[in-house]
Amino acid sequence: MIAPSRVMARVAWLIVIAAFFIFFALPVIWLLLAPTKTDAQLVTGGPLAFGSWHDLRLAWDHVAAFDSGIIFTWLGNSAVYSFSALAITLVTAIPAGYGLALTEFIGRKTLLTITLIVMLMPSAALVLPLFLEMNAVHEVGSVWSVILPFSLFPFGVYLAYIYFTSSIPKDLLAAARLDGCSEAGVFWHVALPLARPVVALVGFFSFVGNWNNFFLPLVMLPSDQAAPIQVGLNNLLASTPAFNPVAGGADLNFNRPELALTTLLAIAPILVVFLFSQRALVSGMLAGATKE
Amino acid sequence: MQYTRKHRRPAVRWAAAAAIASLAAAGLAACGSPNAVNSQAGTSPSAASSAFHAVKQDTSAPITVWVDSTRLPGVKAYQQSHPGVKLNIVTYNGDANGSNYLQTKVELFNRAGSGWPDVVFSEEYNDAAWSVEPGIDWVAPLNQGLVPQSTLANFAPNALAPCTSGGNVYCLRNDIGQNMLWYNSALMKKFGYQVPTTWEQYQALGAEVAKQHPGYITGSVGDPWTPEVYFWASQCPANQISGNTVSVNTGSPDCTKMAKLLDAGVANKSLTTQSAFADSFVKQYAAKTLMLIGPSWYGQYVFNAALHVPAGQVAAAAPLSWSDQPTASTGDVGGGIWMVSKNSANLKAAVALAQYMSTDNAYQLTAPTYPAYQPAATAWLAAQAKQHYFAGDVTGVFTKAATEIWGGWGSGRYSQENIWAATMVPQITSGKTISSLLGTWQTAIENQARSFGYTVG
Amino acid sequence: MALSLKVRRAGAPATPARPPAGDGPRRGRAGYAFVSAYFALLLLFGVAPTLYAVWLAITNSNGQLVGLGNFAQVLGDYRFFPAFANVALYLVIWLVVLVVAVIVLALMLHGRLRRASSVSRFVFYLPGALAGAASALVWMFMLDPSVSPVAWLLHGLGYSTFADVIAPQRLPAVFAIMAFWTGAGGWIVVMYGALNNIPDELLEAARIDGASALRTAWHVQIPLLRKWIAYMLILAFATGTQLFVEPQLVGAASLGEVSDSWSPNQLAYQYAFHANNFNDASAVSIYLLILGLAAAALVVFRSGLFEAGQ
Repeated sequence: MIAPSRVMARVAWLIVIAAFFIFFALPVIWLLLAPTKTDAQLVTGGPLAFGSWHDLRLAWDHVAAFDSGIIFTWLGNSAVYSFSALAITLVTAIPAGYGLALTEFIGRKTLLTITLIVMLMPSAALVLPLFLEMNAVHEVGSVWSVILPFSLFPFGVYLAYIYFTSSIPKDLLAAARLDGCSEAGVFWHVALPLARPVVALVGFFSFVGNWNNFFLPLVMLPSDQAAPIQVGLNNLLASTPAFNPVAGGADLNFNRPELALTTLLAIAPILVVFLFSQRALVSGMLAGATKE
Repeated sequence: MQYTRKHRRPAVRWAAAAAIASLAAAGLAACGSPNAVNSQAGTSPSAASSAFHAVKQDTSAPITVWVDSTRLPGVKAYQQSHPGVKLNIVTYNGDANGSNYLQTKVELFNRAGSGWPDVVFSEEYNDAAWSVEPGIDWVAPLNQGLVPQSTLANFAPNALAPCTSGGNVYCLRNDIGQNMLWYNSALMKKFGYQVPTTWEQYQALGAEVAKQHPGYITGSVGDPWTPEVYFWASQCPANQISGNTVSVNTGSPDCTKMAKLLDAGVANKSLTTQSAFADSFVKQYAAKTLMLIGPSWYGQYVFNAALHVPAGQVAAAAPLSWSDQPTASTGDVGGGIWMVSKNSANLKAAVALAQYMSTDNAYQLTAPTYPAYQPAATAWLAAQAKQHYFAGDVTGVFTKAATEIWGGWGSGRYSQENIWAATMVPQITSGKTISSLLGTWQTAIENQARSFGYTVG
Repeated sequence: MALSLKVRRAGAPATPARPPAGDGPRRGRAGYAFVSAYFALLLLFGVAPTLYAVWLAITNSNGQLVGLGNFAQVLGDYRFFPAFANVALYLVIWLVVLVVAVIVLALMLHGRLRRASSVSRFVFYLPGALAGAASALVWMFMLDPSVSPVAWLLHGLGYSTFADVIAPQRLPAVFAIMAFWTGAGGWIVVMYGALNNIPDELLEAARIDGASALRTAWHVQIPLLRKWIAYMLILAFATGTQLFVEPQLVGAASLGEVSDSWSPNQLAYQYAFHANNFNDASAVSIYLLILGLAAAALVVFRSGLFEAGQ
């Protein structure tokens, strides 16, 4: 028979876990149900009640019609900026993390320190200099003014650095070097295959960071046609009467259900990328990798 | 041993570097002095702009226009009806709700030396205040030949006051929100109440409602624009701006008697501390709003869209005065402006668009809010009457109230609405009386004014 | 095997055996090749703007050097100390809640919840996708007892209106909860990945030795996570001091009932884009940077984060 103290411990754990699940999931469930209701129902109806398919259809129509479908343009822009920067980030950050972790060179610690400082610098102070830099090369408003700064991802470099310092057994690398592999070969043939988890992590966080970045595109891009979805969402807040009492006039047809639906559209790609990248986080990767 | 020595070196290196850096910085102190807060604000704007020199003009150049989604259809229609001018239309958030987007972008454009839009619509008439500030100074004066004097004269009295600086007019007012007394005539008739015409009657009515029909309200002090609704109307000198000087005196009788009136209403709960736009307000008071004092757009935006009061019940009455007040005065909540960049290469087209949108019936008739341009307002009212939402004719009330906006309330670089919402509302909802908070209010306004470079005196 | 992977106490150096030729990483130039592309990006978009910001912080708007004048001036701003006080309160709650909950949840994902771990990770991460404006709507409803799905909880705590929930004395806790809601998921995923890289043999060995889940966690897993935890601490501290989004969101959702300079980062933003004063904005940013670096230095030295290899 299981001791009562163990049962109580289990029950306690279950309650804790359930509480956390509710804490994280409940607001998202609310958000999922919001487009199925009208704005009035959001206020007067039950918060977790389902509205109607008809209202959901209406909300969708309003979202698609807003400013001739600009919401989809925004989503497309976000995809372009985020994926392009993601590619550059992976190509630069993973080797950099490896180099910082598993090679020795003069200035290694300095580079780590500089990376840390840049990472900790409040971004409000960097906006103007970045803008002036881009302006000096006449790139303000082009996609590169957004993609290139996005590609700098010190957080990812540190993730890769920590991963490589703690998860790759030195013996493996030593063996490869003894076999005559060049440093590049060691990286490509030994370290990189073992780095799938961190590549997935860095890729994911880079994508999310770029997708959700608001201030840099706001500053660099002059036109709403080129805006990513985060900037667009901000614009939409100003068109939503609940956030901006003087918005609209009856014809705008954009209220909180539509805003909720747009929000769901905005986060869907992140969740899809999340699901993809999580498959690379396989457990027990290094079991049996070292022989000695 | 070897390890710890290596370990200690970076720390010493860092400390040394930090020390050298700060010594150097301190040693450089002699070269200049920090920005006087908003250093260029000390000089008068007119010095910078009275000598307005346009850049090289090209009357066929395309113009870039920034509008919010509400004005977008109007600008698109303008493009249709004026195919000769090429418009590059950009939608943005209209600088609503303190988003500060426009100022952010303009400051960056100033430093880059290019990029300004030719015409901009902003939902905040305060934006004209920083736009003419000497450190920014990006808008063209419209009264020096760009817009005919006769047109400027036809705006409602004081509608162009936020646009005016150093004798020049820097923007055209799109719409005004003149305050008036909104009431539910069906409820008033049911309860047998008379529509008040003075503040004293309003206070007395509140007391009666509290006694006979508790739960019904006659106003709100929780909106961010409560100062514009109540204190502006009472001619309280809480926002007097002249040039670069701000003077605030919330202890003056015009302020204290309004504060007393509001406190009485909050105490007997005929005035709510919730904003008319809060969800909780809608839930609690949708069917119990006897009256609200608010701008001309309250009728449609609050009573109709938010509270869903059926047609034929909502009516408007003239703004209230104190019984010993010789002339009526009221406040103004909101209203957008059209500005033209002084660096525009096609001022003619830019001004034409701004003027069209703010004065032409073709657009203003479709606008959701009361035009600031009086001829357009007359046409607008006629069109509104056909909608048959209001009980009775609001035309007379709207028109007269538009002429009664008190000119003693300035428009500055700081936001009175932010101050009221962030400083006053939390304290009021926690139970403090407005009369006891008048000193706090004054300090908050003065602090904000100073942080924006005004002299307080 | 188990011996060579013996757990070391945090910060204690391993005794370096003299490496035979060709064994350890060679001091050389290969490292430069690996970091060069990143270094170029770092210089262009990290170092150069940072240096410019430092320059702005020690000059005035006419380009004249003012030494520490801007720093002194912002110190005297009436909003400076309240902002830092607010964030200090916020930090205490935020750091404790984040670190404890992330580690506990990651360990549970790895242990008790292993079968449901991918679903759990997804659920914990969901809020992280809602950044900035996307979550404004959510919080407008969550925090308002008249429309919230957790109205029962809010009423139970004694709050009957939105204004009650966001009363000034409650804001640090409210923001900490909001930031935790959005930020915990990502760190849980990172810690979970890190836990995955601990060889199963170690956990087996501990289990065979009779260690409970708690003792295994405390003596085996957490020490091996020390670099990850250090990293999380550094970033949590820095992002905590640089709090910006949550006060802005609640301000937007409440039509302005939160001051637009509640946090120092908001104050910096106000200086830059409302008062047209980039110099004072940079000064405030440098204050924040110094705070972040001080904490980082502390953590780096105590945890050996910069030690290369294993």
